Amino acid sequence: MSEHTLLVVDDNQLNRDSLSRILNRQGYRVETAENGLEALERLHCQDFDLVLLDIMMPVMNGYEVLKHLKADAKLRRIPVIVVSANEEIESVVQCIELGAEDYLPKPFNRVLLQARITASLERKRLYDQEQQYLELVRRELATGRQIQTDFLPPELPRLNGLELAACFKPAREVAGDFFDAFVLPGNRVVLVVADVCDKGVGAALFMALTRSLLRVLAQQAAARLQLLASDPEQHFVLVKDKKLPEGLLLAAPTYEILQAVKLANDYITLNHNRVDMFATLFFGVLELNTGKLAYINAGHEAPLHLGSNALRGRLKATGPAVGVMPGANFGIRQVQFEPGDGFLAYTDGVTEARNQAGQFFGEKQLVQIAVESFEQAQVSAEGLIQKLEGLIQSYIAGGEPGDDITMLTAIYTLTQQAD
Amino acid sequence: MKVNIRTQAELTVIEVSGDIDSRSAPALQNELLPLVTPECKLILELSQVEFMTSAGLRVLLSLRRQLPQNGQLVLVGLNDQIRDTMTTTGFLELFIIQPTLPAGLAALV
Repeated sequence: MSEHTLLVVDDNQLNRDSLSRILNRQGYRVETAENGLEALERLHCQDFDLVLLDIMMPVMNGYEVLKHLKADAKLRRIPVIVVSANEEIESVVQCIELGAEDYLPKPFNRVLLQARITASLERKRLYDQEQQYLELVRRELATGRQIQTDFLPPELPRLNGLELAACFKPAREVAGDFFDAFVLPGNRVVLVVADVCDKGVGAALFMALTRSLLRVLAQQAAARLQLLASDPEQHFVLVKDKKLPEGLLLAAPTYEILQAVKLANDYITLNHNRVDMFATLFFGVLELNTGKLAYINAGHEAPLHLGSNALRGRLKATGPAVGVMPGANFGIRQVQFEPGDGFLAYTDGVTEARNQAGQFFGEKQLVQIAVESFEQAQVSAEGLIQKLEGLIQSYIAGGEPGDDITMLTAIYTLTQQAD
Repeated sequence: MKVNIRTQAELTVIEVSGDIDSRSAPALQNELLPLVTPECKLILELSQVEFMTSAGLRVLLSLRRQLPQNGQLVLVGLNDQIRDTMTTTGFLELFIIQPTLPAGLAALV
């Protein structure tokens, strides 16, 4: 027995009765209306699965009913089958153009009637199913995006000696960009910008994993050192690699905090290698007391070190992306920030933002604009990021929505010595 | 994105054309992974791929990780953008890379 309820709209009582009888016998529940206006009233207060609609009726005809139905967001999906005499083919065409699903010639043929109704109801069912599925996907994506957003710092640390600003514009699809900034003992700030490969909820989850590992490992390293040494700042580590034969002397806490990247990579390649995911990331430890920024760049776009007159340098990759190679070693490099120097890290969603013609925003343009904006006197970290964001937004206006756009800027200011 | 697979004896040449991004990458992955056999010799020809996002790198990583001990994989025809991305991310070290298809064929043992 069908659970479907149909509405038969016809001004002729004989037609209404005979149609109702046939449909009842075929197992449908049937309600009737004598004209268009009555039909609309019924449709507004009861759920119907399908409408069988006559065209010529007093008070309100079939065309008007169709126009009203199609203009109503709640009712427009109810299939309408127009019932008309064969000589009215022009009117039938007009009804189909107005959004009717199908038509049925008078006098009714039972087989045809059943076939048309079944087909319309089936199409409606598939459409509803598709809508439900799409709604589910939309909800999943919203959850993914929420996961991603929840793993970003709700606000950046306010510090004496460093101005920070960030921009995070998630793409329509969920991706796995993130940035982070947190303070550790010894007047240190950790700066992270990362981009997880691919898109989707998987990328958001991998982002959550990577971000948490880095934060926990860095904090734990700093805390452990406080316990082990009476004054950890008095201990140093000499970092050496093939490209750095003379070595780089780092304060022990800075070195230990940087090891978070290696440990995270070891953890991920050991425990999460089956998903074949990875993240490119920049992980820097800035010592506010000295202006020294020691960093590991794990396969990420090289951040910019901006000076008052020019680009001072790029902080290029020192190792592979995190998650790619088990046991990988990550080189450590260090740059000296002078008071007034700036820092800009970004993800490839910035350089690969496309305009309407499909051309990339590009690295060259980004560097040029960053340097120019920075040169304009007294630019703030927030001002720099707003300017860049504005330029990128106007560049991509009308173009295809791309990847997440993430940027982190910092300006090292003169540290105010405490009295 | 289009994928054209040619098989001659134990050698398989996979020619990809078009962009490899998060939309096309799953299809590419589905084409590539069944080709991995214990003694496969795969050449992935990418000269007609203009743009590849990290989703493409992920497919390459999957392929590389599933490659058995006696399997061989050579990437040929990488453009500058893809090569740069692979250099930065450390992917270049994971693969045998050759400039052209003939050079790729010569690199197979």
